[in-house]
Amino acid sequence: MAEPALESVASQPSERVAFEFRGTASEYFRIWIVNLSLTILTLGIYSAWAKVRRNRYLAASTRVGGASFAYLAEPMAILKGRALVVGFFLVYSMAQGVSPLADAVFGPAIFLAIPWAVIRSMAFRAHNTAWRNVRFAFGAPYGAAFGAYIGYPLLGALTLGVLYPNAVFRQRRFLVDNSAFGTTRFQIGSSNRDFYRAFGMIVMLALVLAATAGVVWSISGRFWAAAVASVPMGFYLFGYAASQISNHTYHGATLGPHRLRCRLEPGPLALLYASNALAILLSLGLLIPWAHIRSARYRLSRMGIVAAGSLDEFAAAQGDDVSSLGDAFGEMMDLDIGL
Amino acid sequence: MIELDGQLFDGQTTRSRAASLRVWTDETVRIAVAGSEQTLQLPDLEIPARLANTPRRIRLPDGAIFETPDNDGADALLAAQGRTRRHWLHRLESRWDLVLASAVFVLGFGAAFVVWGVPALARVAAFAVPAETSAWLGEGALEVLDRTLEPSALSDARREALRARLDEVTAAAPDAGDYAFRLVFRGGGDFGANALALPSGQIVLTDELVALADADEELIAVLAHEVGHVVHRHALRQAIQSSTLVIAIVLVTGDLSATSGSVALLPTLLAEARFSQEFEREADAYAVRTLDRAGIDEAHFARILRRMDEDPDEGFASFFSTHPNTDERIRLLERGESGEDAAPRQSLK
Repeated sequence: MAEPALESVASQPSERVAFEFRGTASEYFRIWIVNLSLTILTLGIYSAWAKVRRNRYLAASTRVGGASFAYLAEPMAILKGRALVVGFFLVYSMAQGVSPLADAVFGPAIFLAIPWAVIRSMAFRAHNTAWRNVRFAFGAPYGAAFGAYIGYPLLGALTLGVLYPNAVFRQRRFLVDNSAFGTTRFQIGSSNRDFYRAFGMIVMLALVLAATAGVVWSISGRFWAAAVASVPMGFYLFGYAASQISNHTYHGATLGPHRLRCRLEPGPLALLYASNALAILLSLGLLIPWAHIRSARYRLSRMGIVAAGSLDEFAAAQGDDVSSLGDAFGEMMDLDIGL
Repeated sequence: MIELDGQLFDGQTTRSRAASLRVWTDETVRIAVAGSEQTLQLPDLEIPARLANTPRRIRLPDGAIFETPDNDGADALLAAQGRTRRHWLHRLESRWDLVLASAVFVLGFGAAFVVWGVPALARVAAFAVPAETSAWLGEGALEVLDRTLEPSALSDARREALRARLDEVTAAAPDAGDYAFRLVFRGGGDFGANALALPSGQIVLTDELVALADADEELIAVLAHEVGHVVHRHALRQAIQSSTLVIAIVLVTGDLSATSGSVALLPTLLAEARFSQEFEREADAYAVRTLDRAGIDEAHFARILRRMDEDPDEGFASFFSTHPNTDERIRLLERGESGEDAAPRQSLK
């Protein structure tokens, strides 16, 4: 398949280095089911250890440049963060029972904590991920996170979506530009225009989807027929949106003199989502690990590094330990934080 | 002799150097890198437990990492440290019989959670909030309904008579004191002959249903059923159950974000239909008890249910049906099975 060439930043000869995923569904299924069993038996406490074991496996199964990634988080750090978040919400719900003012106090507090939670969560994850014994890092001022996660999305909503692609771009740029590997920073390679183009197409696809459903409904007179008819288009829409957002986040992003490659394709991704959904439903959830492994394998097969020179020269930073509080907060609030 | 091949990463840069590690004496190992060798104390090596077939990262005292794909070699090195036990987690994950037992356990637990756990949790949560909050949650529901319903053509006298009947019901109904019930009359439109209970205590009765009833006792039975929905807080419980289920599904499917949405939909619909049928049985049982207290024959309830059932039915996929089969409902009524207390709105049909 022809791919747009990525010119290297410096005039050094560049070499394409592929990612490789070695995880297997058989191994991951066993890790996953033992994790779930122990989490149930310990009333959820084991979930912190389960998370570490899962992430260790997925990271160690991901290889690039002859070495695998490593996930280094301590389960106790995750457990403490979770305990604090659960404690906070317990206090909140008790306060609700006592005073009607509770919502007025806790509501804005939670709202204002979201940007902070994003930063802590990203920092925890980055700090606890390493490649060739050098850690990743993430750091950003509160104001930048507030803009990316509250300010710009709010502006997008107030303009009835006209500024929404801009908000997504700002969010993605915030995540990439504040990340680093060792002492080397990442920088996003896409622009606002890329996101507007992608969202234009998403809107078009959504209109086609609505028109298809409408035509089927008016011909058959049955709502469920229209719903069934819009499933394939719906998955394609999912695949298109997810592939474009990933591609625009990673493709062309620079790490020092190197560039990332990310070329997910809407069709294969849509098929992957559809077959995963079907397999999970028919297996009562037992094929969830298989779905995870296939997704990771596909994504990583479409990603790589266009290396300008050697990958041996990244230097490690002298970082402090980062508490996992933000990480737990991020999970509980179900923020879509992915990097 | 134990000897492992791998790469050494010093932790300062990403430079990768081919290295080998071998046990030298009982207490020491030697690491060879690019022609030079260093001797380390064996107990100082941090050797992680095995995780499937992923590479092992052996941590040296100076913070360097020796990464090797040789899992058997690393296990032998662990044994040389005197830690002979294989890690119990890896043992659990390696034995297919234990993995199979885990799968059965998880599936069984999941099924029990959906069938009993979620409804029980929702019941506790729904009754933990005051009655006014429950009513407040349903506010505005009538405005939404009015987009489909039509104005009623019933005379004022008939309305007054029926309102008086509702007062009779609430006087006889158990635990109904906390709620302000009010009867609202509408033309059914697409709903046809039906009655709806809103969490606010408003009970919508359609003209078609009033016309369908042969006796006021039949309408009293219907009203008792609707009061049952409100007293049992079915709308709130329905909302709590659905959201609990969605959260649980998303937690288990993990970060498959795009897939979990579509995966969550079907089981949620199925489970909601099941939950809703439970609610209908509960409201039926409540109606029977109320009729009993008011001294009205339960046969009236069966009669109006039967007549409503003769209306043309929607017919698609009874799996998704929110109401139990009418024959089954009537059978339960006739056995006098009131039973112990076994959505945004609940309708009679």
